[in-house]
Amino acid sequence: MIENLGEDKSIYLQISEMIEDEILRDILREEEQVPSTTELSKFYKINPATAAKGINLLVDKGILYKKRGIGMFVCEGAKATIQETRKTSFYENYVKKIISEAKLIGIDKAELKKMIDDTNEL
Amino acid sequence: MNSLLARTRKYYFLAGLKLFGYVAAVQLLLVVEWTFFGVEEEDIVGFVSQNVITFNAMFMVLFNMLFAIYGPNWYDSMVLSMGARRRDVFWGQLIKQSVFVGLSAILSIVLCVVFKHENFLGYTIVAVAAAMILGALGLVIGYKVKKYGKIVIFGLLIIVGVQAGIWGFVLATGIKLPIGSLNSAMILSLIGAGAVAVFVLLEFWAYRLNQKCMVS
Amino acid sequence: MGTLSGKNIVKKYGKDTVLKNVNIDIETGKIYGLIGRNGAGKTTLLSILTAQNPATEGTVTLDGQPVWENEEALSHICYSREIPQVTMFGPNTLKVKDYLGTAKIFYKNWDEEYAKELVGLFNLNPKKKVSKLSKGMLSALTIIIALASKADITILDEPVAGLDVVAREQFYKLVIDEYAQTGRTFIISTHIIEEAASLFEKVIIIDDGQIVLNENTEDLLSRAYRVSGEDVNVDKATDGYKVYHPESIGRNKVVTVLAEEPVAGFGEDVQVEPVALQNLFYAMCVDGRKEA
Repeated sequence: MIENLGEDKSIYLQISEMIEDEILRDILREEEQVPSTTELSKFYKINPATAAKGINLLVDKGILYKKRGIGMFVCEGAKATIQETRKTSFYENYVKKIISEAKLIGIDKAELKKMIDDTNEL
Repeated sequence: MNSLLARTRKYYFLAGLKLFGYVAAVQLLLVVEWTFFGVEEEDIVGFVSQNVITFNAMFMVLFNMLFAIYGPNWYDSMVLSMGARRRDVFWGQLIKQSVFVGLSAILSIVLCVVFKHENFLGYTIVAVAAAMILGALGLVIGYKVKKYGKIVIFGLLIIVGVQAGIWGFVLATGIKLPIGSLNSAMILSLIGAGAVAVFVLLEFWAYRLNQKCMVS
Repeated sequence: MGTLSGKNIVKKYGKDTVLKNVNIDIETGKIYGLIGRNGAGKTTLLSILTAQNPATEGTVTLDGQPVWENEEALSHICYSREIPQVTMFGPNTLKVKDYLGTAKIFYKNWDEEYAKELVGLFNLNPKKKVSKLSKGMLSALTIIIALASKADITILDEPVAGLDVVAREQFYKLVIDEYAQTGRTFIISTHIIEEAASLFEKVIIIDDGQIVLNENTEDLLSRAYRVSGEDVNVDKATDGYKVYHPESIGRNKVVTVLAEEPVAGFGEDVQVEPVALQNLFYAMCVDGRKEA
């Protein structure tokens, strides 16, 4: 779980992204129960309505589902769904920033390509 | 019935009881003191009981007025801040004062009868009237203190204290009042009517101040 | 329960107009934050909304019924604020338990068990006189009365003023807990904004006796931006938008923008960052105001 909420985007988005990250990292597995909105709101000291908004966003995206009387669970195939969605926005959210920074400090395409080629993470 | 009105009344009723209990406890201590002073007296029981009755009446007047003055800025303010309605607070004060004065009066009367001091009954009745009137006045003073500060109190308390002492002394020792040729029954009814009128006017004034006052 | 509404509220103290034609609607079932500078009129507004003080003009209604001297309306409201430690006559010698006992009589939904639990949690000594309480203990008492009242509309006026950071966090947790369990309406006025900002579903900003805004916190912040860059570029990019508190250092200029709707972009020549609630409030209220 993330320690602190930042101020850079809406809190409910941060909550939903955090849960998505945990699903991607297998900290939350498919068909496992997710913390309730009350637990989340108490942990992060946020308004329960905000926590609920974050959870509901994930329900709308098909990532979580509700078991009546019990709580929220991770949908089957959620991990794949998240990866797909994030791939689509990867350019907008990350690559554009790298390009703009590289431009600012004078790194050319070749240098940038080399940096990526040299990594053994991917 | 659990309405706000009932809850407010309950609070003030209990407040009146508490005040009576507090003053009665003080009286108990004084009994010991009077007994000490009366050790040489022929009729120690009569001596102690007479003084208790006298001072009970004075306490009745004094404490009723004192706590009436405390009301607007302190106790009533607390109650208003917890959601009580102003008119209920106004009637509540009346309830509290009546309970306190009533119980004190009953105590005095019982003592008068038991210890055969019937001559003090009249004194007690006058004290009850004085207590209620000064209680109403106390409320008005309380509101004025809230607005203008403590200075209001000093002057008034001195005047009142001295007057209560004088009148109490005069009535207790039976000094003839220099009224002249008027019929005593007429005088009494005039004074009685006057007292009631003053009381009503003061309570009305207190009600107006209550309606307009600010909870700080 | 519906809405607590104030319409055309004016409050004058002598020649001084503290509230200038205030119109406000409080929807029940939400946590509100009320922020404003000292002297802006927060306490005055709250005391009028709760019928503890009369307005010079205007009406306050709950569910359409006037609140003033209205038993039904008043039973739903708890307005808890700092208990005076000194009265006109000297120190306030009433004890903690006197206040709790009186609260028990007046708040019809008073939860004695919960109150006892909170007294233990805050380590408050019931026998202690109010005049002898530390600032922290005093704040704790007002918080306990507010929470244990279980009133449908609970208003706390600067509840964390005397509390250290540990106690403050404790307080926020308690409010969230209560709200999650009961959904009761909370209005919290505070100067310590950033800590509590994520608690507020809606935020009300009052400045100089007028309501500046009353809206959903996240919606508000989604339209607030801190735009910086070279002064000519910043001016160009923010042209047509409401701009607050422009600051310059050399050729660098920073402004706070509050737009009518979220803005997609301000162009390539400026840097744009989101604004925290406290900073937005600061930018909006710092300039052109009389000192409190």
